[in-house]
Formats: sequence, structure tokens, C-alpha cells
Amino acid sequence: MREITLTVNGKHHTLALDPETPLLFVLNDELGLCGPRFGCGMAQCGACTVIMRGQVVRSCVMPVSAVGQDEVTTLEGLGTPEKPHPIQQAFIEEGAAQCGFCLSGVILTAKAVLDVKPDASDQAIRDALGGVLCRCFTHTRMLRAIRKYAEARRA
Amino acid sequence: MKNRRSISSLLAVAATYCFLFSLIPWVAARGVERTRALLVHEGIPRDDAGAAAAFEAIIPVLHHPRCMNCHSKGDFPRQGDDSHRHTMQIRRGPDGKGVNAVRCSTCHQDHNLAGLHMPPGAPDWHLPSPAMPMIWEGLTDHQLCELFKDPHGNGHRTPAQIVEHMHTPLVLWGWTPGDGRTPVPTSQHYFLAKIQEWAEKGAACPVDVDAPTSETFGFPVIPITSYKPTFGPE
Repeated sequence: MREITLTVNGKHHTLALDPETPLLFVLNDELGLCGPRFGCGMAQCGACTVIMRGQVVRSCVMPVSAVGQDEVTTLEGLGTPEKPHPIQQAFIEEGAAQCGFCLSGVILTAKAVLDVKPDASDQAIRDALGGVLCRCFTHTRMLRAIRKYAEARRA
Repeated sequence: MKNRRSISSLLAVAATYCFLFSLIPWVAARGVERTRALLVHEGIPRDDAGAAAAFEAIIPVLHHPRCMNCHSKGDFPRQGDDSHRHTMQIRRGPDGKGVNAVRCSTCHQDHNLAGLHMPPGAPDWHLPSPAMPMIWEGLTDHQLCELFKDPHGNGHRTPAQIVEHMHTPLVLWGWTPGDGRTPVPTSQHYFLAKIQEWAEKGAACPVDVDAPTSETFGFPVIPITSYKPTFGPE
């Protein structure tokens, strides 16, 4: 066990942890965040996605010791139920979730793409979402919500 | 008369010394060249056949899926022993490290993760950049060797730096690729010795089997590919 300090969604946490613990387990079990979810546990489905250094990472395969000083942003870090982030609002308005299990992956990936390139093409967004699985077949609504968010932030 | 003879002798001696002094820069330059040649090859004389044979000895490694999956045609990596296209629409990206939001580091760590089908990893996990994609697929042994030597295609490396590159963790990962992946079968020690031998002997390239023959040019062309090493992988 080692004392590790993490910055998650703007808050600092110092925890005694096995450095090899997957970041996802720390987020879920130690910090009580349930945005990132355990899907496959092998970086194949994207349900555990978080943002670090402006890039999406799969927290299920990242040892907590690899986080270092970088801030981690989970789905909860974007907005609140009272004041959702515009991309979350777009998903609500488009009804772009069935079970919602994959939303960390879909929303954070789309946001990461558009943060870097606000005029990213639909194809670029589709490519980026290639590593995120949705088992409910709500892709059409998701893409519509993402496009709505992209257009709103460009306006 | 005696004075005239002694003057002639003096002039002859002076001319000889002038000639000898004029040779000094030329001799010095030759010495530097020779020394440089020895330093470059670390005392091993250039040996084109030996270098070409050493390169041929590492060809099975270069053609192995552990290497070829990142040196194949296309704008994407491959995976598995069957070299299928990397799932999830992974792309090379502008720097060889994936595209925005689908970076190699999204999933790959600096070490292999335990278990079948878990993401492999090594420090600086990446593909060659699109500016220098280092595509080996479809190349003959000769073409592959020439690509290794071409600074415009090999990352601006000298043969000695190629040897150095072969010692990096990402290359050596091929021998410890993690669960479910076949390691490079040739021993790592043998591979590194052969690539070093290739560079030390002058980095000559093997001639392709279907390359021009003596009949083509009318003078002897000895295909180096006919030379087979008498030793093999451990």
C-alpha cells in the first residue's frame, strides 16, 4: 500500500492504495463515482472512460500509480443533475440513452474530440467512437445529440 | 666547379624535401580516412557478403507479426498472430500515436496487462508516423534492407543508430508480447548480434533472388542471397 494523491473532478484525494489498483476501482469504490463503469475490464468496450490530459483513457486498465499529477475528469465532472453540461443536456433532449451504461465512453469521447476540433466531421466522431460499445443500439440518437452539441458550441 | 656541384646537390635535396613536405597533407588525410573507417566499423573490415548474410538472418524476425503488425500497409495497426486489422477503427493519426480521442495510450500502458486478450504495452507504444511510415509489407529482402539504411525512410538513423533502436523496449517487446501472442521465435540475443554484425560489416544489403544476373549485364554478378549462414537461431 502507498499513499497516493489524486485530483478528480477538481477535488484532491489522498488515499492509501496498492499502486497497481486499476483507476476505475478507485473511482468506483474509494470515491463513490459511478459514471465510469466496469464493462469488460480489458479496454475493449469504453464504459470506464475518463479524461486525462485532454485525452480519453480506459480507467479499467490504467494502474492508479500511472495517473501522477494529472487531473481526472469523469462523467460527473462535466455537470450536475441541476445544471448539466451542454453535451449532457443535448443527450437528455435527444433521449440518447437506453440503459446508459456506455454514456461515460460516448459523451467523454465526443467531448474530447470536439474540444480539440470543434468542427470535427461526423466521420471523425464516428471513428473516435469506434472503441465505445453501446448494446442498446441508440447510436443514431447519440450522433444526433453530439451534432446538436457541436452546432450549439459553434454558434 | 665544385661550388656549382654543391649548389646542385643542395637544390636537389631542397626539392626532395619540398616534395616530401607536400605529401604530408595527403598522407595525413589518408590516415584520417583510414582511422575513420576503422572507427566506423570498430576494427572490422567491410564485408559485404557477411553484412548481407547477417541481414538475411534477421529477416524472419522482421516478417514476424510482432513486428509486421505495426509495419504493414495501410493507415492502421494490425493485431494478433493472424495480423487482422486492429478493432475499434484504430488509425495511425498525425504522429503515429492514434487520432484524437483514440490515442494508443487510451488503452495501452507501458507494460503488458496480464491475461488473454488484454492490451499489450511497452514504453512509447506507437506506430511509425505518417511522415515516415516505415512500411515493410510487400518489400523484398533487398528493399527492406535499403529502407533500413535510407535516412529519409528510417527516422534519420545511421546503421549504428538502427542497432541502438533495436535495443529499445518497444522493439524488445516482440520477445515478451504478453499472454495469447506468439513471441518472436528467433532468440533475442541472436537477433541483436546479427543486426550489430550487419552494421559493423558495412551494412550491405542482400541481392534479391530475381535481381539482375551475369547474363543481364555480361559481367559476373554474385548474388549474395546464395550465401547461407552455417549457424542458426539458438
